Amino acid sequence: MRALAHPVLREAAQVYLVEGKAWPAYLYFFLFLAAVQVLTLFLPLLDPGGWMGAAQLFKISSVVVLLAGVYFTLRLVNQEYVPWRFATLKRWLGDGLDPDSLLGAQLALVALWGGLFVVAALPLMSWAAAIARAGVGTLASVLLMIFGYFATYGVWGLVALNLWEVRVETRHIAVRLFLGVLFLVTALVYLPLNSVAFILSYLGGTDLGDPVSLFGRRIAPGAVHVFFHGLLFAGGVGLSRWVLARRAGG
Amino acid sequence: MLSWLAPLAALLLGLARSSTPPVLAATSTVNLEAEVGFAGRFQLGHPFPLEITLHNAGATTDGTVEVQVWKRGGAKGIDSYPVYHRKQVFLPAQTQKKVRFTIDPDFLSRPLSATLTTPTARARREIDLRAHFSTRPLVLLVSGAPAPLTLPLPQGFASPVVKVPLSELPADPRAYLGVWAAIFYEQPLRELSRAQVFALEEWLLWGGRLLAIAGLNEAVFDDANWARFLPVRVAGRHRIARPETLQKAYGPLPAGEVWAYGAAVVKGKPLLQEQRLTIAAEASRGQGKVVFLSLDIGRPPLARWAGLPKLFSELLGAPPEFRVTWAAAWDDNAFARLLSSRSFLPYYAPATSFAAWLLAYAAAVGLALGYGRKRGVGRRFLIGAWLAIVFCFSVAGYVYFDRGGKPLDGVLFEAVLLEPWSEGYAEAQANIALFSTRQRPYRVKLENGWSHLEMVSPVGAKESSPPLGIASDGASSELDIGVGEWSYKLFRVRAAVPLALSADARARGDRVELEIANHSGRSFAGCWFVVAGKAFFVGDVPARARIVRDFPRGDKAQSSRRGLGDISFDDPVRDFLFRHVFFSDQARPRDMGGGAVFFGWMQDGIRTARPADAKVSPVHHALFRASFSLPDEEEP
Repeated sequence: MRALAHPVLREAAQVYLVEGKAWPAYLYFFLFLAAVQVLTLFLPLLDPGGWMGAAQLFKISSVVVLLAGVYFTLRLVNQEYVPWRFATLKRWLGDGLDPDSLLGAQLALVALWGGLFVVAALPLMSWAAAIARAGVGTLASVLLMIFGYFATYGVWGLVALNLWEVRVETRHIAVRLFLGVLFLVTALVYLPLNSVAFILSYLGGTDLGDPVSLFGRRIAPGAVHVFFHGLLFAGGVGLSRWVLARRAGG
Repeated sequence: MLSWLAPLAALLLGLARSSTPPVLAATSTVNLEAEVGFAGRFQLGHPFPLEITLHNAGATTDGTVEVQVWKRGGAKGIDSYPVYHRKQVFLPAQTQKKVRFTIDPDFLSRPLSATLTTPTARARREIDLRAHFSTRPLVLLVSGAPAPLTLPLPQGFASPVVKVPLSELPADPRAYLGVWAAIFYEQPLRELSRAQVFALEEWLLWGGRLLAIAGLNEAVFDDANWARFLPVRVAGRHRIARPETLQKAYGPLPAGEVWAYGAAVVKGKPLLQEQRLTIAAEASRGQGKVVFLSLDIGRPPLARWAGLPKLFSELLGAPPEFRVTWAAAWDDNAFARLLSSRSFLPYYAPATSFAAWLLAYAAAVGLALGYGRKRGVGRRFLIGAWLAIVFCFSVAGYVYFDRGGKPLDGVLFEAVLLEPWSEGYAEAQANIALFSTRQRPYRVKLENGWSHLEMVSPVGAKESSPPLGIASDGASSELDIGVGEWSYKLFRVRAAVPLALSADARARGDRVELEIANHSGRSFAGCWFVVAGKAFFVGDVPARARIVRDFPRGDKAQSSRRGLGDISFDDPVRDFLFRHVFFSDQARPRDMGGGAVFFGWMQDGIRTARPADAKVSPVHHALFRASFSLPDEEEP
């Protein structure tokens, strides 16, 4: 881990990877995904339409990876595992780290935790893609999309961490509330904003919904989805930056 | 950031332009002309021939001729869709070549387009069909006489009569579906190709009418092709001294000697006889008829006979009805229910293999961890080992599940309903589904003699799916169909097939006698006989077997507790097809109420479609069904 020059990265890698404190999260994620896949394949065999399990395997796996991966990424980003092992923001900022450098390291950690979930899911997802007859291109694009969601939602774990660093329970509630609101409200208000609906529509080749009219222009649901998530990511990064700058100033 | 996209797009656009040869004007080295129908005429709503003449004024080249027509779903709720007919051609230098298609557009308002594409040039022509159609079926006249023949048609006869040289008769039976009758006058058939003979025979089976008229020379009929068609054997000419029957039926004959051929009826029946000479005879062929007239109506004195139009009208009969009435319920609802049957799909969810791969992966990771701990290797090694295991298992597992195990891309499901015609022929209505587990184009071979191809449902067709293409060579054809991932397409075709099985039921008082004579080499399993709503199990009918059974009728039939709904077979797919496709409420035979019906499953049945690649599994079921009305007969 000497190659990791940034102290924040080095600390997180040491605690979560070298000492293995994050491995349970990856193990639970893997076991959950494997269990869902096995049940998806086995349970329909008891029914006449046994082949449907194979047909739906990749779609179900993608949704599971998305939901479970976002949940565990938020937990890791939010330092929910052994939080006492991490140095405080006050210390990092007091040691001379500027807020931008700290934010950069935090974002790199979001990408690292999310990326490792994608890698952990890779064997099962590739088998599911082959069984469901999805091509390599579809597999790659779905994994890329899911990684994008990990990053987009993961930065809001950073927001919670930076806002309520010492109030651990508040952070826990905040990220769970954020997830629930995001998945439920978007599904109820405007389906194209929902990431699960977007992935299912992409894999099923179905329409996501009607275009929306904005300032006299009709915008496709896919564009609305990408724009919304871009905004969500930028908003999370901006808010984290603002909190860190305030702390550095205070 | 996306600045690299613009040059890439420009490059791709440039490549696309350079790979598409320009549409050439009349000065091009290749050109094409098209002739619609028979001498420019066709019957509206039926398939017709299209002859494309290709001109190559340049060097020797290969090319593709493609004709695009539009079909409509209309009442079936399907959007209009293009159908492409394609043929590969070889064009020697400085030559012209004729290519024939049989096309069946549903729109007159949309011109059909014909395109010739070679590696260096492209020629395209649009053809307006509005100037060519007739609402009445055509009558084809093929005359081998040196003098032109004027047909003695009855007054008010509205169908166009088109003179066609023998060599230009279509080799595809579907091209005749807008033809009422083909009249051959003094015309030997020696020059007909095998495909042309086959096309005429198939058209006769579907209901066509072939009229052979004698001329001056009896040797005209002395060939093997005529022997296949004619109901008579022609030998010698005879003078009819006093043609009383003819005059009585059709009016006085003009002065002069009347000659007729000696015609011994070998199949069929005589229609008109004069002094023990057969003047006209006919034989049934499937739904159609072959009629022979032994009089020379093209020369005096009979050419002036006022009774000819009446005689001709009788010989021509009524125009045939080529439109098909589909006798099975085949739609999305039926197929969706069929899909839920495990027996339908010989595809398995590889649950066991998946579990085995999962265990192997866990074991590999466990071994790597165990080795690391035992040897005390660093975390970096372990992470590297885990990443290597992930990569290897991902790639190997993908390859295994994609190509190993069961390399099955789709299922071609065919449910054929066979109903007897006459003379050892049956009508086969094939209800076909092409089910696919992945998005890809498929090629399906249609057996010779198919007709009335109809897309029932293009469900699951994505925009990227290729449109329906038909590559045909004479009577045999191949369909190019694009199907989406875990989706299907439904279509149906009709064919006339030889089937040496006769079924007959006769009412004898309070009993019904069923006689099954199976002269074919195929056996029939799970046969049932239903009389007045009561079902009786007949059992199997082996190949080359004859079965005669008595069944109670009327009040005595109540001894059977089983009705149509109680019939079951060993196979759930057959159960489903019986209840929901062949004997659904809208598909039951008309005579089910007071009559009787016999049916049984043909083993190794007749197929109309076959997959062209091994990654498609064919599933086939064929039900023979014969229905009878039961007028009372006296006891023998």
